[in-house]
Amino acid sequence: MKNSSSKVENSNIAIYLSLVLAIVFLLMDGFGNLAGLRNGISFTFEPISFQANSAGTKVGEYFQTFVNLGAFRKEFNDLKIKSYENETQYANYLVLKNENEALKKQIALGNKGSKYILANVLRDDNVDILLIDQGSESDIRQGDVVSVGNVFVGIVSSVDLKGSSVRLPSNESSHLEVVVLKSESDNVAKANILSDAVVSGSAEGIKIENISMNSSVANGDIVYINDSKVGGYFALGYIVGLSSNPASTYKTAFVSPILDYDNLMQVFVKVE
Amino acid sequence: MSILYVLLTTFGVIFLESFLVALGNLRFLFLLNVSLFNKINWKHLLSLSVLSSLILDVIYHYVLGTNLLMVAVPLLIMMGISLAVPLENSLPGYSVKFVCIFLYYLFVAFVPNLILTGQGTVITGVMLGGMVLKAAISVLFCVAFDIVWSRLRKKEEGTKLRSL
Repeated sequence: MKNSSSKVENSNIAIYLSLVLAIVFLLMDGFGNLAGLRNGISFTFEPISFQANSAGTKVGEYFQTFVNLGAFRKEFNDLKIKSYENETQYANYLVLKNENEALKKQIALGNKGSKYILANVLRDDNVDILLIDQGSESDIRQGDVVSVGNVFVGIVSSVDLKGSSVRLPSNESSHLEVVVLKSESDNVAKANILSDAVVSGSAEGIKIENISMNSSVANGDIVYINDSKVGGYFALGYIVGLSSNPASTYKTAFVSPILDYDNLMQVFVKVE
Repeated sequence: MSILYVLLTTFGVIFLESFLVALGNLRFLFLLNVSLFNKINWKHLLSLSVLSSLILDVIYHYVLGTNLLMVAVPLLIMMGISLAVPLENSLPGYSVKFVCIFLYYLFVAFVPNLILTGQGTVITGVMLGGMVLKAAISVLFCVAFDIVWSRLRKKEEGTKLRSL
């Protein structure tokens, strides 16, 4: 007990002495008598303090990351939303660009005499039917021709108020009269027709039949639609896989379409 | 040997003080003084306090003696309160320590500026909140220190290591 109380008493002395020393140092430094001491301490301990301070700052920044975790998460979510908005805008831009290119092509090819309805292609699993978002409301009727520029796409097979289905040449019920031209021919009217033929859809693709045995049709020649149902000339594709059976009176082949029907975004429906 | 201990501890105090100030504006010197109060030889405590506070005065660019004054005054208040409230490892004891640490942080906020320029500092509510938080963290350190100390030393023989 005595030990303990004497220790307390001694600690009290330390406090009193600290106070006295503090006042002494304050007065002496106030009069500028301790500049040498200050320089010595500064030379020795400032580097230690600097290193410790740097370490503390680094650790503090590390903990600050955890403190700001909520803010980071909010910022991340905001950026994610912004990214979605940008993606949507980019998708809109792509649609507009595609539409613009299709319109330019349509105008450049001089199809000014007819009335065309611009329709967007709707996706589905069908490979030989194309769904479009325009219907009888836009004066589209069954049998109307669907094209992009002067390239044939198909014929409207059924019409609803706000949508239609287009029968593609690859459809098995599609049968069209065509002409085959030399691949170098740019102008249909002036070019020599190599042969008349008939294209029909099949499971293997667009089949072309009844090519005259005597004609000089070769792979790569261009196939143009020349059918009363369609009216006018529309490009369809190129001859591929030409085969001739000596026992037969005509050649058969397949048509590689100019357009990739799976990637179409906009088409034009000729309504007049 | 004691001088070596005091010097080594001083180096440690300077390092930890600078580290904790950068980390969370926590002051280690006063914390150590509160924790070692009545636990070690008063001469060692005085030497450690005087040396460390002078070095810190130079590091913080205070007038020499500022830190020592800021440490001594709250300790004097703690000593005064200890006449009525025991400073043992109990809730009232830690409450007294909390008040003294809070006072120390309050002094840190305006005393150096007062001594240097003769002008006080405006204490805002946010600053007071920060001081309360820092005092609470410091008291937690005191509790941990007391637990470690009681395991290292015998209760009645504070200067001798516990024999295994």
